[in-house]
Amino acid sequence: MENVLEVKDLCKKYMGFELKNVNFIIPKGMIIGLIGENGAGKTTTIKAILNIIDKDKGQVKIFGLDLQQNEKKIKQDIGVVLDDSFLSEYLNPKSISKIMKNFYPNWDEKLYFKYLEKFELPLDKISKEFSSGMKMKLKIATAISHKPKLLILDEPTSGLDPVARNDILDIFQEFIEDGEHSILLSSHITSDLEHIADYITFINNGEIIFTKPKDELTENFGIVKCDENDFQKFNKNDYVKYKKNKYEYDVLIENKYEFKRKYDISVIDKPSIEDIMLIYIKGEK
Amino acid sequence: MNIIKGLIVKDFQTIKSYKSTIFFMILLFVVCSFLSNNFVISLSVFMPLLFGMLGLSSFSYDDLAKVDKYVLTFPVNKKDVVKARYMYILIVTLSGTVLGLIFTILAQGIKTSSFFDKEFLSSVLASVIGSSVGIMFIQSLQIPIMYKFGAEKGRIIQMIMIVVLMIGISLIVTTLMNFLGISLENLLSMLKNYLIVILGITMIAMYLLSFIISCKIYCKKEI
Repeated sequence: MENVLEVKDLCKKYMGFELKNVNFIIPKGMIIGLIGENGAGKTTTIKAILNIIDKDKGQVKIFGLDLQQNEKKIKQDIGVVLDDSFLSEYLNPKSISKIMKNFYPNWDEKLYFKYLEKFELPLDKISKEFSSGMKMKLKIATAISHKPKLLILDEPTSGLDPVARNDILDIFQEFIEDGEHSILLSSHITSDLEHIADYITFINNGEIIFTKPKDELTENFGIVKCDENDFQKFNKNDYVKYKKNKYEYDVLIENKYEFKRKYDISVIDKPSIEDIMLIYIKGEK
Repeated sequence: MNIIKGLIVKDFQTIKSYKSTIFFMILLFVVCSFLSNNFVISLSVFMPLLFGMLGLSSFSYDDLAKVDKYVLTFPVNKKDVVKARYMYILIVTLSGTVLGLIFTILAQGIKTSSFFDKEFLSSVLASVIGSSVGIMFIQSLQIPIMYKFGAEKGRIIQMIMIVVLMIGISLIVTTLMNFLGISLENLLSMLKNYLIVILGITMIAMYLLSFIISCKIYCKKEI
């Protein structure tokens, strides 16, 4: 399968924070969810991928080309939505089109206005007067109207109500429908990713913990809830991590079918991505 | 070139959203200047200053929405961003120069019914150019500071720096003149014929140096 993005050994050191040898890929036509708690390194990773910050080490290849050497060419085919940064809030959607068409030769004004109509966004109102959901829809319409092959979104659903979030997830599904487009989406709202992501990349303390197909996480991973006696019977190598609660242990298992056979356990809960993330972060080994 | 144009269009579209405030401000300024006895000084000196400050305000508007980070996701590099900002500020400032000239001549014409008095024109031209050079001098100092410290912090540092520079330059010039035994009048009359050329060359050199410094600062800056 062709890879749209390849991140190899990406390192970046700040005072009190470090991205350590970040590696992951985005196969063509896929949605990758980058998850992790606030401050885990999601935004820094995205900023380094986009060359907004200088990396200390590592390589980023997009569409098979080295980003450092082909930055302008590559960026013509990328659409970006950032959580805390956009054009001035005193601009209306019409003015935004006048600006954007200068940057992207593929800017399609008709398509942009079609998206605005679909998202029910007023053309002449300044975006300061928009609700959070409307602002995000405007950012997305702006990011996809030059028909990018790769869409990179940093926390696009945070702070939105469930209806707006659902609308936005629908837009992403539609975007990748033809198999030619791919999405990298960072979020700490893991339930959103459960709906749409094909792969999950989990980052914690600046390190990639894993990249796995979402179905593998939800189907193969499991959580065993047991008391201390049962827990003592488990071999350390058979579970990922455990979390000690007041009365019981939550034990995260990577392959629940094997575990079931080995320990003769009948009930293993199906974990959500959030459960997996929590035990990885808070749990012990 | 389209990318530079895009960045300049972005600044103009942003300032356009404040058009009624700006228009009202200019109108009030023009009317007040026209009614005062010192309209020549008000219009010809302060119009370029006003527009020069307006150009610099693009840093504050960008800071408000953290536009810098977003713009760098476009097919642009940091040098393009700095280049476009200098061009935008220069265009806005020079528009102030031209408008200052036009308004002063119009005001004089309306008040005295004589639009093209040669002596008057040359004095207006001198004050408009003098004021434009003055604001461009401030800009060439202020832009790198804005890039280094951001719009808010940059403004305070710039004020301190201008005061220090003014005192420093006047001290150096006075000491030098005392040492060489030349008075200010002598110096000015010596330079009179070359003043425009000297100012022009100094301004271009300062702007270029300022641009190079800003590029270096911005390219190293973590956004």
